[in-house]
Amino acid sequence: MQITIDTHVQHGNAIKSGEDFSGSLEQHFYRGDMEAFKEIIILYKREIYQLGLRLLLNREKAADFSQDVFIKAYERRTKYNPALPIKPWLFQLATNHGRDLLRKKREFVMPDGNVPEIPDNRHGEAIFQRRELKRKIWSAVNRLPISYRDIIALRFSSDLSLKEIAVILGISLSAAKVRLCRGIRAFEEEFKGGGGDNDVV
Amino acid sequence: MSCEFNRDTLEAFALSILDGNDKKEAAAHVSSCAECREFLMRRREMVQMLDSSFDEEPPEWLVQRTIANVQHQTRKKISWKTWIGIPVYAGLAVALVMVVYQSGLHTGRSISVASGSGVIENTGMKGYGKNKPFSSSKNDARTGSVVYQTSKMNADVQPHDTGRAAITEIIDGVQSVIGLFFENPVDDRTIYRELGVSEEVAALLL
Repeated sequence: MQITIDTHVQHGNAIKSGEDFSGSLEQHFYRGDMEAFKEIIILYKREIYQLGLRLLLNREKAADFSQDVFIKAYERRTKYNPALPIKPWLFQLATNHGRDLLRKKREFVMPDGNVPEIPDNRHGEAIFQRRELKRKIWSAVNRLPISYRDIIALRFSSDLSLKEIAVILGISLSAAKVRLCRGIRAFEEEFKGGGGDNDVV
Repeated sequence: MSCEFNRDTLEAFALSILDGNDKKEAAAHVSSCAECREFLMRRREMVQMLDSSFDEEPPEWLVQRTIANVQHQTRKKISWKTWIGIPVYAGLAVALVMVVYQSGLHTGRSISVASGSGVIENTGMKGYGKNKPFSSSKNDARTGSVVYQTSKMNADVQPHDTGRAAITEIIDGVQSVIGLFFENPVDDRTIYRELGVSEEVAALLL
C-alpha cells in the first residue's frame, strides 16, 4: 500500500531507532482499546466532519459520514500498522468512503435549510449577504467534478501535506499540484459564472 | 492577464504549494509585478473564502453515538459467538464426562471379565480398525478395558493403569459419541454396539 511506504519514509528514523510504540495511542487503538478509540475520534472528528461537509455538502450526511468513517476505522484497525501515524490512514479511509458515496449518489444537493447559519449577532442585510455568499460557494463546489472536489476537500479540511494527499489519492506529487491548481481555477469559474442555483433545491 | 509569467506557478504560489527555486522565482516576480500581485491577492481571498465557508463544528453527539454503535456491534458479535459456541463446547464437555464415567476410568474402577472372554465384532465403523491392542497377555489380568483390534476383534483385558490406553480410549470414545449424537440421539446400548463392543461386554459395562 502506497501510504505505508510513504509514511515509512517519513518516519523511518523513529522506526530504525527501535522506538517503542507499544504504549502509543495508535497501538492501544490497534488492540481495540475503546478509550484509545474515543481519543482518536475526539482528535480527528472536526477534520473528518469538515472533509465530509466539503465532499457531500450536507451537514446531516457529513455527520453520518464521520460516524461511518470512525466505525470503519475501528473495524479495520488490524489492517493498520500501529507504528505509523494514524492520520493519513484515517483520511484515506474517509476519502475512499466519500468518493464511494459521491459516485453512488451524484444528486447531493443543498436544501435551503441546510445552508449553515452564520453565528453573528448583527441583523439585516449583512447576514443576508453572508448567507448568500456561503450558498453561492457551496453551489459552486457542488458543480465541481469529484476529482477536484476531493483534493480541495483534503487540502482545506486538514493540515496534511500535499505529499500525503498525493499518496492518499494515489497520484504523484506533481499531479497533485496540478490538480489542486486546476480545481481552484474551476471553482473560481463556477463561482463567478454561477450564481446558478439550478442544482440547489 | 497581460503578464506572461507562468500562471500555474503563480497559482501554486498563491496556494503555498511551491518550494525550492520555483518559490523564490515566483516571490521575486510578484514583488516586481503589480498585475501578478493583484492576482495573488484576489486568489488568496478566494481560497480564504472557500476555506472558511466550511469551517463548522461537528455535532456534539458524534463521539458518544459512534462509541455506542461500535460497542453495540461488538456485543452483537459476542452474542452470536455465544449462541453457537457455548452449546458446542457444552456438548463436548458432556460427551467427555460421559465417556470417562462409562469407562470407569475416573475412579480407577476396573471391569471384571473372564480372561479373553469378550468377543468384539467389527462393525465396519471407520477409524476403529486402526487401533492396535495394548494388552500383550490374555492370562495375567482379570480386569481392564476394551481394546480394539482389526477385523476380527477380541475383547482382551489388560492391567488398567496403562496411561496411553486410557487416553486413546477417551479420545476414541469422545469422537464416536459425538458422531453418534450428531446423527441420532441413541441409548447407551446402541452406542456400545456401534463402537463394536459385543453384547456380553456391553452388559458388563452398563
